[in-house]
Amino acid sequence: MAVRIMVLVLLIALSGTYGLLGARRLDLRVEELRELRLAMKLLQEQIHYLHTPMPEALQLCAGRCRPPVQVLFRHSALVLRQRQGIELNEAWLEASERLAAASNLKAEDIGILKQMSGRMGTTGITEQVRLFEWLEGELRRQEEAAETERASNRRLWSYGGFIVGAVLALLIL
Amino acid sequence: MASIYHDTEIIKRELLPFLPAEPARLLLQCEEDWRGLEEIRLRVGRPLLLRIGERDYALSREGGLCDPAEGYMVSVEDVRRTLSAVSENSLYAFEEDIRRGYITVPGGHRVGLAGQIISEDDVVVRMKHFSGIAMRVARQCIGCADCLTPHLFPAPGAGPVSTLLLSPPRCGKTTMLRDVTRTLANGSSWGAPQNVALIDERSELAGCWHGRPQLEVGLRTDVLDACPKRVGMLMALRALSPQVIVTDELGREADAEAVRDCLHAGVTVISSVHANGLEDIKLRPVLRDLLAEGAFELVVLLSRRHGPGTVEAIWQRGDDGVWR
Repeated sequence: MAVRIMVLVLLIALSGTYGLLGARRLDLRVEELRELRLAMKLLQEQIHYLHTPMPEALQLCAGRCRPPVQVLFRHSALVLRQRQGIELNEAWLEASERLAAASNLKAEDIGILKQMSGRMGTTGITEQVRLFEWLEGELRRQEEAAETERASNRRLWSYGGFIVGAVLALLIL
Repeated sequence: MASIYHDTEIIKRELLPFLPAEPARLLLQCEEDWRGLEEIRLRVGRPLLLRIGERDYALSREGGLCDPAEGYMVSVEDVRRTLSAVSENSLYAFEEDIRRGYITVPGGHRVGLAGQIISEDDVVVRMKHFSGIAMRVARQCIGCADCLTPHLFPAPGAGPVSTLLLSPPRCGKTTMLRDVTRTLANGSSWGAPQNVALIDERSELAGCWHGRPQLEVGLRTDVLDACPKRVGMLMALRALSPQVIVTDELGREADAEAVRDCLHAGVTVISSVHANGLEDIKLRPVLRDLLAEGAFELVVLLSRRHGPGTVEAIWQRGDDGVWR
């Protein structure tokens, strides 16, 4: 009996933790999208006002933002600095994949980053500024959507895990 | 020319990283042939050519050099990747350079661009659909101007005289001018060191990258990189108190006016012009007037007879205005 009770408690605890982690992921996605948007703003300023070449600008952004968003800039800067014939779009796509693996961002968030890869650095200042303005709009929209999702689903995830665990425990009993 | 030290190591370190993987690999296979390499040319749909001395060679797919017709063919992707590499994947940061038709890379090597030009009122606005890239190996030849130095200081204790270097293209004018700059700025047994302002409109003389000279231009040389000659000469006069102003390829009336301003301010001007000889100069009104006014006291003609930088003739202006 004691073993049975222990298993049930463990089940509730595991299910509750999973729910809490889900709720935390909702919080983190909002934070990461905000961090990404601000870092992109910095990159845009480096390009627009200082005409800083990409490897240098990306390195600078990597130094100014926190993990996991940092990985996007740090990895692409590193690849470009190695000068092994890899172009920015390739480095950026690779870095986006790394960000996807390390962060709580959704595929649709990463998709926006990938979408801009082909146009980064390949045009003049005016077109680059337009590209970054488009990106900022998209990221802001994602951030708002993530905020809404957090507001509506956070409580569900927080309590839902424990409730599901408890229901499962009752069924087992 | 003495002491060419552009060896394989410099090409390997400073130019090869800009080439896409396949042509870079093929180029590495013929490393022993790089001595005397002047240009690497990529043209879409045509063979990759290496200019070595007076001949063009292509890269064989089996390694080594071959006849241009059998060589490695350049693809659109090769040109795109090379352009991405030389522009650091940042075309926006090189808009002005691209408008001028070239990008200077570390080491002072010049990468010329060909493609579709978009212009407005005869001014190049941008270039797109890049179809060709010419990587010109920057050669410096320390000491090649030693034979000119005694002529630059004809009077003991006095400063250098204003000098014009003449030659057809590819005869070493820029290399010679650079070494004259270095010699004057460092000083020599013929004359004391001079403060030199180098107006490098095409970034060829000092090979600046991010504003810093990549080639040896001397201890007392200030470089105004990518600066129009007329503007640069006047800026240098006002701000840098030079004793000598060096600039490349005079030709326009505005350049001549700036030369006159420098001479009136007591500054020596050393420059170069595309020409086959003094007679050629006399057919060009702007330069003919400058010579007639006594703007230059020394004219040097260069050729490729014994390699680039061969001094063919040196004329000095006599007190009677006659060149001897």
